[in-house]
Amino acid sequence: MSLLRKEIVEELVKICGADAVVTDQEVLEESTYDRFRKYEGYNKVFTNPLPAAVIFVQNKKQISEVLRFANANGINVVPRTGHSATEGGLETIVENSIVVDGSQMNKILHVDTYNMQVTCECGVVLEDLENHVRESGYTTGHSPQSKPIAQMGGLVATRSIGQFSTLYGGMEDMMTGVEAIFPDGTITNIKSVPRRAAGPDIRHVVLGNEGALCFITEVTVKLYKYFPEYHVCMGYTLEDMITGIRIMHDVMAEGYRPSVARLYDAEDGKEHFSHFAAGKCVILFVTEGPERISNANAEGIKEIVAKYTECTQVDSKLIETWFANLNWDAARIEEERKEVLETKNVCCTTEISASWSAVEEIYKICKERIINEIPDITVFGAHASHCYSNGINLYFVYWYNVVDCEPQDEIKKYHLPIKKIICEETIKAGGSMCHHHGVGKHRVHWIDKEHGSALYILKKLKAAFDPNGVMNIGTILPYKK
Amino acid sequence: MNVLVCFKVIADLDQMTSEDYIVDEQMNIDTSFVKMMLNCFDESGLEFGLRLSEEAEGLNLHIKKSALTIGGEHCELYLKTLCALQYEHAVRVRCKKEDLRFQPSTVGTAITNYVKEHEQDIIIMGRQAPEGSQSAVPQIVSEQLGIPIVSNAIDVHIEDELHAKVFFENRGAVYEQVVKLPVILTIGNAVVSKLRVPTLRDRMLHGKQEIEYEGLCDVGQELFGKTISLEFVDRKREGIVVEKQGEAAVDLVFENYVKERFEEI
Repeated sequence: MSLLRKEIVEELVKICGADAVVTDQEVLEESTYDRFRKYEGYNKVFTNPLPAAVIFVQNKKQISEVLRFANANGINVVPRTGHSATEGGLETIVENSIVVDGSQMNKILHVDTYNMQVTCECGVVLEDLENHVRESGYTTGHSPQSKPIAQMGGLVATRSIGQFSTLYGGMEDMMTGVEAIFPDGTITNIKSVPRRAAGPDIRHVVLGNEGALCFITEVTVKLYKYFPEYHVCMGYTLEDMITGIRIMHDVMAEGYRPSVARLYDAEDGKEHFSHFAAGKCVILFVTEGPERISNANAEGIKEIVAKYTECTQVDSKLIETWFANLNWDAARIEEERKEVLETKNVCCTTEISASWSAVEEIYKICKERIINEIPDITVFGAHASHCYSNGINLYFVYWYNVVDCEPQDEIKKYHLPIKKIICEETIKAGGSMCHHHGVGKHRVHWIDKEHGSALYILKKLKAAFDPNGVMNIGTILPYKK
Repeated sequence: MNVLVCFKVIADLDQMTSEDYIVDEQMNIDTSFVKMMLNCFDESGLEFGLRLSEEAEGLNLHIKKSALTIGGEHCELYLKTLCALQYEHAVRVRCKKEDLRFQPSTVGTAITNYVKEHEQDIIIMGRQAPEGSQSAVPQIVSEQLGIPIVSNAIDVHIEDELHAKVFFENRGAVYEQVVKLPVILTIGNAVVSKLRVPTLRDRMLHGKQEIEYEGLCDVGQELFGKTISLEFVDRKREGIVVEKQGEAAVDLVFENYVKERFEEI
């Protein structure tokens, strides 16, 4: 028999103390959703059931006990740190969930500059960590737009990636060690080593688990020397997105490694570059590292771009200034809230990845279908912001006016139909429907098509580590009552 | 009825760092590397133009909307957006490299000339712009056209064909007034701050509308003399931690930071 809300709260207070257990109505409401339902949230409409409590855990012992309690009583647990998820991964879709918030576990535990790594607790804000290591001349190399608010536990849980990924990689390339707690209360520590071949790489059970297998408590990531004085910033305008994709391909195929390689189509670029590239696509690169490496990469890239005569170089100050204002902090989210409420114009995104040979068609067909099939679109564009030798990502950015529609219906009328087109067309072309935001609860509809026969492995993982199905129900795999 | 909204496309100065404020020999500061945006007060004004038009429909009146700006080609994108939002006239007073920051007579006269050619019932302008702000242009237009002005308007509604109801702010208090048309309104911290966004379909349907062009004319003597220096004003904000709690904290904040302002009102 399931426990009553009151009984759950009483047990949580016993484990964590009254101060750590929050049952305030407003906090509970805010904890039912993430940025996927931002339009509902901004309108103070909460469609998911309220959790029983939000607990601000202080240490791994508390987490272990809470998970064991939830596991024994079939209570859903939603792990959380920075609350910046975008795909519904933090939604509480069943009654009386427990939101376990690790944001107060925010100590930087050990900066080891000789072994080039740093260990911190899950609630350390990435920007704080980055500022801390930069004081000693190092960088984590990680810089997602959510850097001012995202925290280390969540960044690992979602397999996050940042703007400098073409050089430093994604979280899977950065994270060397991790501590996580599983639903039966087992605390596991995967030690940080340069590499090993002691069976499958078990870091990947934790990486990208989106709270559906375990709670991440500690993370060790690599450090790199930081040489801002040798950054080379290059920007070009061009007419055509497809040409841009081919330039990106050539840069990667020739073996150059910019830290940043980004390409914006004219529609998406309008939001960023209309002061110098109205109606045009923009491609930009940053190279970094020691002076000779940075310069060599920059020279090679310039040589490749020069072969495409339709590219016109722009003043690097334009790109540097744009970059300096790219990230999202709490003030910007507040600004967005006011703007959305006034204009009812909402911006959402879906990011995918695909091989070089498939990406052009995905771009064309998604654009064509969405503009023709979805009403009230005000902007539909895309940019590519992460490059690999074998392919690239596409980050579709779409804005729509919410017309004749209650806040709770906005997702059904607009966001999900758009996502459906993008995910289905991408999978059909052999790409992946999730590049770096995770599956959350709103891309589970296509998870079987995404993985095909490999879904077997994913299901077995879930069954093995979360046999009672209490970890973040409905995330990565669909919820079946 | 005719409504004219005057607007300015400005550089987003929030993107500038203090090091970027470098004054050249012509007393210019290079802002070409930052994003452009609508001046916030003007953006409110443009949305008011659309709302007045919708309101008028309900009163069986028809409002013809015009939007006018003075500037270079960078303004075209904004004018196209206004066409898509169904402003019937999108007007650019051509201005290539003229520095209009401290030339309110030139700007005011350009607006006046347009209104003389195209009669207006309501002329809406933003209260101020971040660069070269003297709040002089609306006064000059008012003087030149002999049309009364309501400053710091925060909301406006159509009463009938000859009147508008205006809410305006003065020293923290809000007043309501029914004014006879024609009238000039300068928009302050309005209840509306954002301009709606046209759909792609609207852009395709109405985006082909031609932008209309006017020229600047020489007004001879300007109101202000030659600029002799520019200085960066560093407006810092301070956060103060109040040690007290609850009612005691409220009292302390009131006594030290609010009371004097209240008394001024």
